[in-house]
Amino acid sequence: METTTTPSESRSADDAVEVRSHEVPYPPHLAQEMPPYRPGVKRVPVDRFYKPEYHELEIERIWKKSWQWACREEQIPNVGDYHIYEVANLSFIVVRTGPQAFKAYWNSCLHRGRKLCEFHGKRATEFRCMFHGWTWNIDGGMTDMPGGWDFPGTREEVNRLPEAKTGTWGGFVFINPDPDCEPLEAFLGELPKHYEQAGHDYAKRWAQVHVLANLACNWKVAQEAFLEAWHVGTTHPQLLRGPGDRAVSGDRWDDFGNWMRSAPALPTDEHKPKPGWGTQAESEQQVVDSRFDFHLNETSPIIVPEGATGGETIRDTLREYNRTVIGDAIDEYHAVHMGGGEMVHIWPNIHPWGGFSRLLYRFRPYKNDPDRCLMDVLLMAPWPEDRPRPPPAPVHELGPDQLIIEAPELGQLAKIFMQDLANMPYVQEGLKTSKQGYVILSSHHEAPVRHWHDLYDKWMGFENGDYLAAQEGAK
Amino acid sequence: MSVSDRKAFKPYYGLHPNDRPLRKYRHVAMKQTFEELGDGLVKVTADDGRTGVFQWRGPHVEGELTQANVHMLVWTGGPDLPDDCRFHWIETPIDVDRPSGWPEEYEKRLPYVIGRSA
Repeated sequence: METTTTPSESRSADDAVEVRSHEVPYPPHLAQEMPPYRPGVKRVPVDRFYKPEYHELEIERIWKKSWQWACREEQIPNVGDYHIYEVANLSFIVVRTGPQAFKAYWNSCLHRGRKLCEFHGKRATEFRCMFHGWTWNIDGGMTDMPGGWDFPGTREEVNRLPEAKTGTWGGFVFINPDPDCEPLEAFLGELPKHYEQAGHDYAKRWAQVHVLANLACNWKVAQEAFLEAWHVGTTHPQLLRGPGDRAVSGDRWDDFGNWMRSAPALPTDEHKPKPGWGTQAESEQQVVDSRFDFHLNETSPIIVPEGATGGETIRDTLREYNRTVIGDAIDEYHAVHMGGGEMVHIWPNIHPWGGFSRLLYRFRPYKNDPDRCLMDVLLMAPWPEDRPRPPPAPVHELGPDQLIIEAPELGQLAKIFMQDLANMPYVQEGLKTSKQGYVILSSHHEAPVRHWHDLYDKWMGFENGDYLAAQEGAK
Repeated sequence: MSVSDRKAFKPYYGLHPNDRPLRKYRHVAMKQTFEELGDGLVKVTADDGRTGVFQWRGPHVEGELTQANVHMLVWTGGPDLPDDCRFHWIETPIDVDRPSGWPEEYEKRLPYVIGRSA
């Protein structure tokens, strides 16, 4: 389906998509619409956000069963390079065993259980336990068993390190600890095709920024704050959209099974904007100034031309910026790609944005503490194909007491996260003192959060009700 | 603009390297104006003329206006970015001619991120 746009259909800063793209077809993957996700509100018990029994069950039923992004291929560029991927109390060694071959091992010595590796490493030929010296090569086969004579009848059971399944897509190395899991390709479904159609190959992107924040809330609390954009009106009131209260409220949610995406309403849509957005710009110039954070005591260097909208001006600016990176190839992209075009949420915890938006999130529980989590933020920058790609950014790890603005490489995003993260400890504390005992997720704006909890219920075995919450209620 | 003209684009960040004005924003829905006073304090003025001063984390300090949106207080009076890091994330600085990918000045500014010792 090819769709072009007209100026009169301009809607907002992000999703008005006319301008210079008359000759570029509207991206077919964005034109694809799925049936509306089932309507209605969803009530979710608060227990799952803080009680240890849920955390323990999540380890068994989600983290030991799901495909999950462990690292980027370029983080382990040479044979023998390895990355330690940790989620909750689980730890895996992800190692490159060939030019395009990867393996993942449970990071625990088969002798006395010591972690085989504490840190990421380079060019390993073997993994030797630093307790008593049992050793396996990077292909998982045992090469040395000091004191082996003293362990009669055990050689067979320790001959190979236990493995997790591995797979790759877009430069991401995935693992799945479940030996009976479906292939990664089946799990992702048509997702890779969408990124091909977007001309947005993550395998060619450069991980320019990687920040790892340690947050005082459950991983689901943090993640859900980024599953919907309805909070922007209250939590980020400086991000004026407009004019009018359309913008995100006009987006649509498409359910692809293990993943959901938010896509802008099509240029040909005649949908009616939904109320509830809350803030609106008073002028087209305000749209630009809020986007780039020019305040009232300074002069904006980006002026909206006569007759243009703020959204058009932003997209023109982004197009010219990206021209400095990939040259005139930027003209092969429709305007809808300039700001992103879509946000994708892959079960259980990966969130790549679309187009040139660069953003990529991941959320994980932190060790055995249901009140803490890890949030990865990456900026996956475009890079010209005719030049060698820079090495990926080292992970900038922030401690529990550090503000995220101490990662200035995030730019304006760090300030925006200051607002998001300010909510999270209070959400975590508020859930624990909730008399109501459940939260309510809306039919439209919070559809992706409902979708995610529907998947959660399925993976946790709660399709017929949250039996852990029911047990608690019976006490 | 051709590939050879890549550097013709002028970035907007770094406009006030030595003398950045105090921040001032308007919350158009609440009809209030937020002004940074320094030292983490923010003055809020409602359209009806009432004013209040708040700490950037939210507590009221003085004035007839006693309630304000804490997220606007954070934005206006909370810790701020260095001026050369005010970029929008879609425009994080890139220099395709440098092996690090970052413009030279950022290699000094953000050595940890670029992989050099701080």
